[in-house]
Amino acid sequence: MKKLIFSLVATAMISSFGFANSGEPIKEKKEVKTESKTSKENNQNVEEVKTATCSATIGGSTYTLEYSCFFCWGGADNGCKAALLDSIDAIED
Amino acid sequence: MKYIIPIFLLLFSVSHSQNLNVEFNFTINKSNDLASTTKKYILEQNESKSIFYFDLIKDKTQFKNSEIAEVVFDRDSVVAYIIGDDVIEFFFKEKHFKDFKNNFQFYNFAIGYKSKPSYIKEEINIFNWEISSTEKDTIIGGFNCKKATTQFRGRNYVAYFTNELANEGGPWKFDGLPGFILKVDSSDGYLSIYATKINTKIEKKIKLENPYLNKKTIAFVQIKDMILESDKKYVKKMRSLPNAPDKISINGPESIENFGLGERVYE
Amino acid sequence: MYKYIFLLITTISFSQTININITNEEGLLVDNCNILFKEKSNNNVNEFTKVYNGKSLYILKNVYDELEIEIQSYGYISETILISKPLKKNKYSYDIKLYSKITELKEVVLVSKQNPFKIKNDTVVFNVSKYSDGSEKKVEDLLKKLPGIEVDANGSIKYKGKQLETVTLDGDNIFNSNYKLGTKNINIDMVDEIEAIDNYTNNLLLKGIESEGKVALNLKLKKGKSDFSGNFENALGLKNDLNSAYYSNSYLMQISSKVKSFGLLNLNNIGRSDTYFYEKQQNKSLDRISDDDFRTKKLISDELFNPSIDPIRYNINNQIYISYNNLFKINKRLTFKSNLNFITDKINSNQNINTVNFIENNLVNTNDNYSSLKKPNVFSGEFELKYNLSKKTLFEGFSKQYFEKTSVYSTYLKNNEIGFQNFNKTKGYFSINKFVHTWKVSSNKALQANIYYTFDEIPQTFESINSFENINQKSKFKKSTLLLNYNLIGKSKNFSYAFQIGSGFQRNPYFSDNSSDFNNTTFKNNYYFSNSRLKYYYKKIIIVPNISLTNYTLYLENTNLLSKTYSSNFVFEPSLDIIFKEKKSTYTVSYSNTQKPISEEFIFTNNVYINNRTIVKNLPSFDYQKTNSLAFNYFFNDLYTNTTVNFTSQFQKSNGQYLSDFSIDENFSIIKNSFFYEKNSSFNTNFRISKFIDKLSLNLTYSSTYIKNKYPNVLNNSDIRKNTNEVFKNTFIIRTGFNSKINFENSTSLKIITSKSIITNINNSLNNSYKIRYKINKKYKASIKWDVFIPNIKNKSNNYNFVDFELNYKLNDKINFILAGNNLLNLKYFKQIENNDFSSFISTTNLTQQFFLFNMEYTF
Repeated sequence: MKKLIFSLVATAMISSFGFANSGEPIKEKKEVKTESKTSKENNQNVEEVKTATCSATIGGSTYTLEYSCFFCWGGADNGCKAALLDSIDAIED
Repeated sequence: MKYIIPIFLLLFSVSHSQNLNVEFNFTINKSNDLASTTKKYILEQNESKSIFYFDLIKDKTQFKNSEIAEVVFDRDSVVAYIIGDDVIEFFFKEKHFKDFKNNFQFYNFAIGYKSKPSYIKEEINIFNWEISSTEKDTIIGGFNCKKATTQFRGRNYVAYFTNELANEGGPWKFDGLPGFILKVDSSDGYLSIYATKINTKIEKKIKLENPYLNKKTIAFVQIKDMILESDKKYVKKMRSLPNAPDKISINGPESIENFGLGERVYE
Repeated sequence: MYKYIFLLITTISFSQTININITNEEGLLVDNCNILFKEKSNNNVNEFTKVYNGKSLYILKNVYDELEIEIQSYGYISETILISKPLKKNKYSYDIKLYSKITELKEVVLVSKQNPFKIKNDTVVFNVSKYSDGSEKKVEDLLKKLPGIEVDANGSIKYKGKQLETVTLDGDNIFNSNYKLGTKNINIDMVDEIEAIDNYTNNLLLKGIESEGKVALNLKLKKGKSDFSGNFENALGLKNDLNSAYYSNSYLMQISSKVKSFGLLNLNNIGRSDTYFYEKQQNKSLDRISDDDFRTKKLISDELFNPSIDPIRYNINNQIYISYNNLFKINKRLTFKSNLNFITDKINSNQNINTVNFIENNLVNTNDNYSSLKKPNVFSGEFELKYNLSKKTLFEGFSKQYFEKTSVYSTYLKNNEIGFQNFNKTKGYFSINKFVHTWKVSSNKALQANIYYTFDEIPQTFESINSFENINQKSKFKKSTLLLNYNLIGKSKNFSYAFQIGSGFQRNPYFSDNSSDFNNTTFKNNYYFSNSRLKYYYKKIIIVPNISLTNYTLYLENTNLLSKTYSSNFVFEPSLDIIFKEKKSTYTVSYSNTQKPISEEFIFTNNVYINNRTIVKNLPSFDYQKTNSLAFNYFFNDLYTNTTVNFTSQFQKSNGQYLSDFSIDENFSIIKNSFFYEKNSSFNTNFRISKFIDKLSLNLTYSSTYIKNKYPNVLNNSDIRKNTNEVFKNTFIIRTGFNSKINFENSTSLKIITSKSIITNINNSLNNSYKIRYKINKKYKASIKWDVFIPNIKNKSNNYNFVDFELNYKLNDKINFILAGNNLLNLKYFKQIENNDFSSFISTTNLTQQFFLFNMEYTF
């Protein structure tokens, strides 16, 4: 009797799994990729290339810059931030 | 809840010309709260035209986090502020002109860091309003207002309008109701506009003219292309720097209307 | 061209056309009008059109029964046309004349009081500055003013009637269930907004799928120049008998993107006890297991009784409390959290209980007097590691280690005749280790596996010596558990579900030895279970059926009796909740049926001393306590008018329970527990209404609780007695929020306890707490508090008046000086009367006497 009930529950679980598949699929974020990078010969490098990323929100838009560095200390991060804020000077149009 | 303080003695007049001067508080709650603002706009309207403008570009108390807002640079027509460590916002002078008879509106638009704004022209009647049935009218500033809802370019809005001030009109693009719009809120909390001062007691007749009469204008759907253009220029400039980034992602600009753009990644 | 002709033909064929010419008094066309089309019966504007140059040809889009057309234009009186049952193919033409209206020209300034809150989906965001009046110091003080949030006397917080999961800082859970660390210590000046979150989940992967209805608060901190903030408070003063009084409470908080930490150090001897971190944990994780499920029994308790007044008045302590909580975001995928707490204390107390027992027609009087020194030492370390392998997979490891060593040295006097020297020692080691794997199968479905290995060991020693007697008892409960469960949760358009299967292995040995009696029993419980819960959403109604199936295999090995008994049972427990949700109100009806097997406190069969007077033993059996429970709940919350109403009513009935058989004489109370199929029931109703009256700047709260318990027991070989215990408590609180210099708050509470069996005992107690705040000027603030207690209204002469004062001098934004005095009338003892179904007792405790403190506070 117990075994019957447990197998019923297991069946219920498995069938609900399939049934609930009729739910919404994961929505992918729209990414508009333009201008792919010209390929660099970095395949031979055995050393790991790390990246430093920083973001800033300027005038409502969020700009995220990614730099690759071998030794990513504060220097890389600061450089990243400085570059972002420098871009405001580019307003001198 | 609003309290009404009538300042001056009431003047009676038989006037069919609707001369209005209304001050609005325009709040935008951005996803990064540091950039949230409550800007003070003024709307002037006569029986056929209106101008909705903002020129308090030097008043930093309009930022929600004004204690940590500092001026980065100050020009005549644009002031840049930095709030906290990595949020920069621009205040530029805005003028939004409406010609009701001809169903056209014109306004200036700046994409983030470009100091040269663009001028947009589009129709006024672009809303599909549904007037709600309510037992009682809502009273705002002593005026009986009805409630209307709409969905516009990605957000749902609730607006309150009255026919006791004018036959049409409203802050920003909001219009197309049988009355003047005094309050608009988006249901997701992003936008909130409400009148803080209403003045119909105006001695001289208001003369309003299109400030963009001889300027080159673009349509709303072209804004998307402008943003991508500005993206290209930005990416070009960044790549020309000695230490160029490998990947640049740009998301935005975060705005009231959906421009039809997602996040762009440039590598 | 043809397009228009086609249109014209179709309009003439199928729709109603309205043609209106509008002129003014002078016969000129009115330039600018609006025409509204309404259904007369409901006065709703279905469509409208604008008219320029006075002529309109409009084709109706809707069908009307009674069409009302309103022609409006600013400066004119509106005109209305009524068409009853407009015919489809008709064209209606009208010439309307509008008459001028005298309009007032005015200038109106709207002092708009912006809403002090914002609603964003499941979250309400409260703007702290709009709810504060300047008197609040800590976060807890402001939480008491927010609608929908309830803070009780201990600082436990409820939102929408539910206990909080946690209080997060800028979205990060650093405190876990020990949120009082944050709410009682963080200065409210640091907080910009407080978010009240419904449907909170600690597991980001499950956001949107987990629908347990958990609630939490989030503190959004003001962005300052520095990552660090804190508060140092140091006070020195004098207690009575010229002993020194000291209070030091300092916290340091670091909030940065990668690290969040909160450290607290508290030293005091004025009775402020910080025991929150080892309080009972209320929250449950996704698999509905909480820490309490793994705890075993502490048979010999440290406390004699707790007086019903603020502990600060009787807690004569000497405490050091350190808490260090850290959250490290090592990288995007890995976070590590550690919570370390340590408390050491020395508590002095003198307590006396005078009991009158009503046994048949006799009165048996007893007296117990304790003079004790309690030294608790507790250390807990909680560690949590979360690793997000990918966007769909999350691994979590939890480890909680909790060590306790509490010693109590006391001098005990029995019946004012016989004295003893007592020494009680309790050592506890509680360890919970848990590993969780969550797999987000799709955007609306997830699987989670949980493995627990826990054990709780509480060895206790009780020694009581005098020249004639010598009790030396060792007693130890231990519980070790291995539990595995596997969960599937998901959410679809109209329903959400949660399925669980699992198995647990629990081993509970108990050992005791007191030279005359010896216990060595092991209780084992091996169980496997499945639980299915569905939530079906239909418009405003949510129906939640739940079925729980468990198979228990219970073993009881009693080494004394050389017996081994075993029982295997299958248990079916259904429950049903129906929830009706409106914009501001929620109505819930719940029914549940539960069956509980034996609890480990009833497994030992030979005598064990609980204290010098009380001896316990049991007759264990494998009977299940079956309970049916029906509850109704109504919750109303209006943020605009700041009104909250909460009404709960619950009725519960069990078929049986472990009944206590008391044998009482002057020297001993022997309690024997065994299972009896005698019904017991409990009925409780709670009503609470809280409202802020804007115009009077008054906050009023009224709450009323009624509890009725019906339970059986046996007293000195009597038949089974059916007893009733009723508690009726009413509390009324009024709090002012004037802009003036003076503000006050008053809380009045009346409690009536009735115990009925053959005789009836009633006790009414009243207490009133009054506080007045005076803002002398910008720098000086003062407050006086006056608490009155009348433990028994029939004996008004036994009343207690506690008077405290505080004077605050604000040197600048960072530094504050405080002069405080407590118990100015220097009350030394507190006496209260309680009763149950066969006895009435008067408990007396000594109080922390009068003290004065000079406090310096530095905030940054």
